[in-house]
Amino acid sequence: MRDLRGRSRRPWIRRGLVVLIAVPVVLALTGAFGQPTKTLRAASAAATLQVEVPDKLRGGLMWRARIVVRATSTIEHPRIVLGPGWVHGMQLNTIEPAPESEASRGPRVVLSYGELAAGDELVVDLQLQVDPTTVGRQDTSVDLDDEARPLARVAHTTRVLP
Amino acid sequence: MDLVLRSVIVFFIVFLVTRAVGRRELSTMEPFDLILLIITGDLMQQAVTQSDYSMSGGLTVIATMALLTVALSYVSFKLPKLRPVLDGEPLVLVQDGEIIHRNLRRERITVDELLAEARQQQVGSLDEVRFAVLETNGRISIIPT
Repeated sequence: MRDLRGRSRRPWIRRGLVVLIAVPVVLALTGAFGQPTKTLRAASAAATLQVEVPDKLRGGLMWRARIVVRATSTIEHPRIVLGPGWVHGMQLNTIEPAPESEASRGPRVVLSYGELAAGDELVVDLQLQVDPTTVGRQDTSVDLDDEARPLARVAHTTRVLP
Repeated sequence: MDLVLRSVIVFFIVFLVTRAVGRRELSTMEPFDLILLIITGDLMQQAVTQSDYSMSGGLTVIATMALLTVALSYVSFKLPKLRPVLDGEPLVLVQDGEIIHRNLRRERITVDELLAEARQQQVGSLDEVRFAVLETNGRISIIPT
């Protein structure tokens, strides 16, 4: 009897552990561990800016983003300004179409494209990979400028899970 | 979400492969079989996690596989009709010293292998065997007369 003391609780402990194991599976199914893509929009008198980007990522993951600029009036020097989180701790593998030139604005990357007339649409696809050691919040905001004049801004933070 | 789906698919692929290959091959592992098993494991891991190096990803996959294992054993326990499909059934290879060749062919076991198995269990001749049964885990149980 002494040896059997407390054993009646063991199946319940095991069942509890199975429920505990189910928690990360349910969380993963609801997208809590990434990487569903979210569509964010910003608009001004000159253009609308749409960014498709995931909220959550994991180390090593390959992911994609799409930036769409629709000009409602002429933009002579469209500039897409990427927040530091797009390149810091990320491998930026491809930008299609490639910009005419790239420059830095502090930790931000400025992509310059050719003139957009009213009604034109610029679609930029980016393919990236998270560095395996990156963890935490990444500033993945996007600004649309006409040379140095701000037109629209999509503020966004992507969380990289360990 | 994709991690869970890939884990489920790979789990059932592994299940189907192990059921198709046969229990005997999996229990009597030659060096070639062992290397093949390691390569298969590596390929399956790549199919599930792909480029994911994260702990959260690993946790999700392990938890999914563990849940599926528990679910499969629960189904096998609750539904006896499904048990032969899920776990297999013991197969009689020798009855009262008589070899049942049809069952040997079914599991691709030669008479020499059967004799070797008998010798390993201290049985010198199949005449001394009342039953030789291929168990669901791939081992052969020998019950002497």
